[in-house]
Amino acid sequence: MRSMTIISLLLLSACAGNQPLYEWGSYPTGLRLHSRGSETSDQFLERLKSSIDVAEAKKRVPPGLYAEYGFLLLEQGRSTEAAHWLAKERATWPESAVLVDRLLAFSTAPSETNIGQDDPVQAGASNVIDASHQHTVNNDGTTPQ
Amino acid sequence: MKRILIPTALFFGALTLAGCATAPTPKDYTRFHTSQPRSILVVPVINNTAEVDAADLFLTTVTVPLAERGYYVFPVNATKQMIERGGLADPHLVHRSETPQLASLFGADSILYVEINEWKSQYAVTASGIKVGFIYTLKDGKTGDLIWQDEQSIFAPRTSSSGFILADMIAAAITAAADNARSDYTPVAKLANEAAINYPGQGLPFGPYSQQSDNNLKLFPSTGSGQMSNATGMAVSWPVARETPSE
Repeated sequence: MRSMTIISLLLLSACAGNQPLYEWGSYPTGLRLHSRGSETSDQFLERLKSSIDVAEAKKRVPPGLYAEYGFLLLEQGRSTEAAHWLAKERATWPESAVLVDRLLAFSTAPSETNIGQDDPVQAGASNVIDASHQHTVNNDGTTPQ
Repeated sequence: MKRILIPTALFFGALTLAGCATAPTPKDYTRFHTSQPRSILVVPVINNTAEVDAADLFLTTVTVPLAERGYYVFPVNATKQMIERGGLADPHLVHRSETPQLASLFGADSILYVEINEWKSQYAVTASGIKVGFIYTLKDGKTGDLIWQDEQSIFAPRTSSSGFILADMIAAAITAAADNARSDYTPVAKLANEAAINYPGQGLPFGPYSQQSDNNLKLFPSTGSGQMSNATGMAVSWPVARETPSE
């Protein structure tokens, strides 16, 4: 009888997803609090770091965690540290290559310390709007031709 | 003993499986299997409700189930900031812009567009609880084609007097939510996500990092029907009316 229960449970878990692939720590909680404004960027940054530590100890770091951390560091002007974590995301998840290279190119640019007007991501995303064939307005307030 | 045990176990197992596979007509996964996305970019959510916080709150619930399904999920906070600063602060603009262009910025194999259609507390003598409703639209990052769509509407009773154990568990989860401020219905949103993603024949096939991706062709067959959605309404990101199956 016990075997039956176990097998049924196994099958049930097969349709609900097996053991979690990753150790998420308090990243989801942080996202929620940060998005509500009840947690500052500094607090979120700290939370991400401790989530990374826990996940690395268990060798189950979820996708995006290094990049999320690296991005926040980049925003605070800590480019060197940011580059380290972004490179880690890229090494762990090849799918992140385009995103990471885009951010890395920016973070290693000598004269820049923060995301600003020359952000390549910003420039790229503006192109998306232009390409969407809609009546829309450019960053400088003009209407695209 | 053993000889009896195995068939019985199989029978019980089949019952259990049937319990999670009572889905309607399977969707057509032909295009999904051709696309075979490894990564998913979740873009800012369109909120069709009056609850202003719903979009941001929802966005925090969707990374975990997608990654646990076996996909690389782009960091939602970072990508949201990047998209907004790129001039796409209005989610409607994001959902209407060309999928391949946006996907190429991030190197994303696919983009998930979500719209919130319901996000509310319901107070009634008969049914007091929380109701959420979403439409999930997944498009191929290269072609911009629809590869999967699902619509979910979930009601979670608030009281524990339902006599229904699952409802009680949900109610407990809601009560236990740490940040249970007004309109934070993320526990119910998570249930909707699970319902959308996990059903064989209806949900999202396993991603490359899942050990179960070998079962995809069996669990998510290419039916050839062309029907990739169960949605009754149209999504901004895919403004195409669902073809009604000829029955």
